[in-house]
Amino acid sequence: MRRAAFTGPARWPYLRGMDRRRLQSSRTLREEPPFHRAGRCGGWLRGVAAVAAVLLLPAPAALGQEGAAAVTVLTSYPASFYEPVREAFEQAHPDRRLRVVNTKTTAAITQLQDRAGEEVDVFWASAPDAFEVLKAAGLLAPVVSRPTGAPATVGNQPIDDPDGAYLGFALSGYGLVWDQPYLDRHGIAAPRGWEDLRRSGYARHLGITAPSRSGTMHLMVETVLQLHGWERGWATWLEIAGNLATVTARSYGVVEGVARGRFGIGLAIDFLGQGTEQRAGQGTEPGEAAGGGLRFAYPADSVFLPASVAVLRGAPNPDGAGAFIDFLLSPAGQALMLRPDIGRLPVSPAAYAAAPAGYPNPYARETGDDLFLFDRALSSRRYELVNRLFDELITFRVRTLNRVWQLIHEGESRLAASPDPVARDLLRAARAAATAVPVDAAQAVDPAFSAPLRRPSRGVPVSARQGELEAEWRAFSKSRLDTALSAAERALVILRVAAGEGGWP
Amino acid sequence: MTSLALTRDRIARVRPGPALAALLIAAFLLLFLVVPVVQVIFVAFQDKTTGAFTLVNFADFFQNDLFMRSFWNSFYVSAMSVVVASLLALPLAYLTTRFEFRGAVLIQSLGIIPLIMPPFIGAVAMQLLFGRNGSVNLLLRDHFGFSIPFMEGLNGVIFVQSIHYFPFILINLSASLRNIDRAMEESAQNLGCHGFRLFRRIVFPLAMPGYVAGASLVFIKVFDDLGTPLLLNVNDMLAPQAYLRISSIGIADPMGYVISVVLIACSLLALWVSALAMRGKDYATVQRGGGGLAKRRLKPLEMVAAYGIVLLILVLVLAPHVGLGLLSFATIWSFSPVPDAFTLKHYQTVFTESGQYITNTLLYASLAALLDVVIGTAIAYLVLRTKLPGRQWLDYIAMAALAVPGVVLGIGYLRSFYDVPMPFTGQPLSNFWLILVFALAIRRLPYALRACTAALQQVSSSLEEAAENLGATKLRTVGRIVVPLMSGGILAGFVTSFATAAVELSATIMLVHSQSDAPLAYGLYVYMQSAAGRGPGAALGIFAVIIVGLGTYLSHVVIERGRRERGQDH
Repeated sequence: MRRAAFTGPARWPYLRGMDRRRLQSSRTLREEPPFHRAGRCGGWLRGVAAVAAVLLLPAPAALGQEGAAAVTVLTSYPASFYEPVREAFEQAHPDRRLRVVNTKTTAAITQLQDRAGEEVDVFWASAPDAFEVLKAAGLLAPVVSRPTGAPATVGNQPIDDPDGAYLGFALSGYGLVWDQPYLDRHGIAAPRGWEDLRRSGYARHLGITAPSRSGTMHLMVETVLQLHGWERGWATWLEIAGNLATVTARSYGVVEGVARGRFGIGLAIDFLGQGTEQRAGQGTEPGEAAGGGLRFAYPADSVFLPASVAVLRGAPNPDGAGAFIDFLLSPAGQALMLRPDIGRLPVSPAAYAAAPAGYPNPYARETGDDLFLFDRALSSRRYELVNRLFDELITFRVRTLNRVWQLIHEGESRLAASPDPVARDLLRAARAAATAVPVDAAQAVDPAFSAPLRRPSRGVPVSARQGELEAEWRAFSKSRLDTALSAAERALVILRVAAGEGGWP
Repeated sequence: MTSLALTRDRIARVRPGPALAALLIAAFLLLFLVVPVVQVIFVAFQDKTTGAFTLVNFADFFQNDLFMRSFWNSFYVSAMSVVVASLLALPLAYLTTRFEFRGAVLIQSLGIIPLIMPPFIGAVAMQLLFGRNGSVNLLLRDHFGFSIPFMEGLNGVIFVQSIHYFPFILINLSASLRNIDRAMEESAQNLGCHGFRLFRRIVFPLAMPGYVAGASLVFIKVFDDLGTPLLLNVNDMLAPQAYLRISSIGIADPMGYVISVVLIACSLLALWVSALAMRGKDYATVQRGGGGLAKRRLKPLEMVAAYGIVLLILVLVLAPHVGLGLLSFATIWSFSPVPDAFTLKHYQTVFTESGQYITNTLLYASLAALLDVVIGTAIAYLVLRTKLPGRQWLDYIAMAALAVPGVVLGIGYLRSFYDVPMPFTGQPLSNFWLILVFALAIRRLPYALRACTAALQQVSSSLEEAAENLGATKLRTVGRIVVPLMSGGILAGFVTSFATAAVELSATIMLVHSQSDAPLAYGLYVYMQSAAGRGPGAALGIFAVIIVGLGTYLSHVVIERGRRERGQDH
């Protein structure tokens, strides 16, 4: 309901601005608007995005030559990814055409659930939980596994859906992308894992996108929540959030932000980081010389998860859909993954033979998930819960979180130097308040609790229960952060006075 | 021509001694009161980067949700504290003045007990007694199944403040009621007016000036208070916001100054309202005839009700003291009506760990009180006994300290003295502990000044003239005749200043610089921040209450003795 209040005529000039930008560049928002506004305006923005997506269909495909032969693919991948695949596919199958509809993963789920827009044959994206959500909604048709030579699992994660609803075609590790010169300039060390990102040295040097706007980010959030457990996982994210410089509107914005020096470190899927690194390494664009130092690393406890493809139930062109999947999983399709402009990890181990030196190979690497099994069903059950909660606790509160964690970290480092029982208690209280999460672990696994939550979409009001929960979380977050702020401020006064520096900075 | 001659005549009569004293005092007041406050006001109107005059800071203040909420909260809390304090004071004042009530001694002590415990000390104890899981609510919930949110958020501040400050209304209102001409009441009764109409149309309007004076004092005190909201963890009020801005962002942030200006403006407004009301009082006293309202005996049932009310209020008033006492002896006290067990450990902790708080406090408060009575006596003498031009201004400026909240004075000192290096060490002057003493002295000067002025007014100038006729110099007269005769008043002023300076937190918390220099009030504040520190904090609080209580008792004894002696002399 809150969102409806912002869709007033006063915001229209902004809408027009957004629209124009969309038309200029389908791939990225160059100068991203402050995320708070974008988040609030989400309802109609997505509408604009849908309209833009239709307008931006590749012209020949949009005109549609033979309707029966066209395969419609809904994907979150950028043109630099799908264009080479489309060309190769159409070369291999001269009688078929590939129509690509490009949108965010999260928006794609809504579109498919609402059966809005045109009929789609294939859903093609990275986030496994997105596929889980669609499978649970009964929107996916069964598919048969193709012989790619891939093992059943990578690390502990199955590559193809054990229920036969979707197939993995590439692997994605999620990790950290950073700009080495930027880190050198600020004198900070490169992070090695999620835990490192909590350190105060990274304050305001970190960029992420919101899980509600990016399937890959959602996956990272969920991975940490499952690795650390619900409450500790949120504590990790809330503390990492204290170091955020910004929350970008799309996942591409993260790598771009690092490349442009808006912040030093981002959380991104591996191909995005590597793609940029390789592009910059080739030195094609002198203007992007600053991006020459981009590096990517898998965090120590990273997991590899499959990027998948699925056929939709009731697809108008099931034949073509099958052909597309066959192509994607054929040696030719797998080899495409290694192209510098695509830069993904093929599922077929054989494909790595042709990989350039230094190309990461998940089959030849120790992963951090020997004991950890990513629970896709759990992830899909609480998909929107995690998204909504992340927005209320983190996305909309970045500035306050910055302040709170700056104070807590400063206090803790002073405390380490000169112990003080009162300040210690106050800082503990501050930390406890700043890492509190309003939904407990039992509620988080309860499907009934997450059931009323939906991604807000234009013209469809959210349920009363969702509005209630969001308001409750908002109030919770605000009051806890106030408590944390006041406790940390008091602790700092005490520590400063104890050090003989006076009660103010 | 005449005026010029008069001025010249006046100047000719100025003697160097008093002039020098006046100049020294003026310099002190200028340096430690006027400059810091003007500095604060100046910075509030200054652009942060360019230093040019601007109103943009005030625009920011009025557009900021948090500050506006804090403003209204402060206003609401102060107004509600006046209301609740009035509800406590009205029946007591009415009982003592309207009826022949034997419990008068009880009521008199009711007027003193709260004042010997600064509200911020009792705040934590009140939370344990009246908080959500405090004794009272635990008992209510167990026996009746409901609880009363005495201490929830702003309620807590209102509750604690009104229990502490209601004596101001009680004292002023009682005085006012006693001064009402009985003839007024009788005339009204002759004309057929009685009961509530009599109260509403005659008694209340006549008592109004005293009431308004007390109420505005309560309003200012609550509005300016920093310690109580801080200890109750209520941050969205103006004084805590000013403090938090400075303590978290630093002295360069203009918002702390803007809030200070708003605090001063509200204090002045309340003083102005009270001045208006006091002007009305002259009109009432012109016709003063009989002493106060007609008193009558209470009927038995009324007597029971009267004692009931007085006892209820007594219980409320004693609650912080009892709570603090229990807390200081308690091992563990949470979620139960009374502590689990008792121990002397906390007192031991205080004496071993926090001795420096106590010695610092004794040093600072006695230096401040000494400074106050010296300056107070000098100003009183200059005003009453000399013809120095502009001598009234010393009095006015010293009294103006009343309208300056402690937070504002603290911020002003930080701003004014941070850039001044201390001789020898080169440290900022604002870090020097003597600055804290000056702040305390300025804060308490108005009270000492009034005590000294009153004392000097009671010394007949004929005694000085006699001494001078016998050949004593002016200085010798002052030293041997005036000051000894004023000693009672001076001592009372000293003790009052000492006792209140010992527990002053608002300016202290801004200026305290290192733990070894910190006074008791700061130690209390720190202890009360953590659950583990409450016990020692309460023990330290008991110590503070003893200091203030002893001080109050001593000044009472001194004043009484002076009164008796004068009674015998004449």
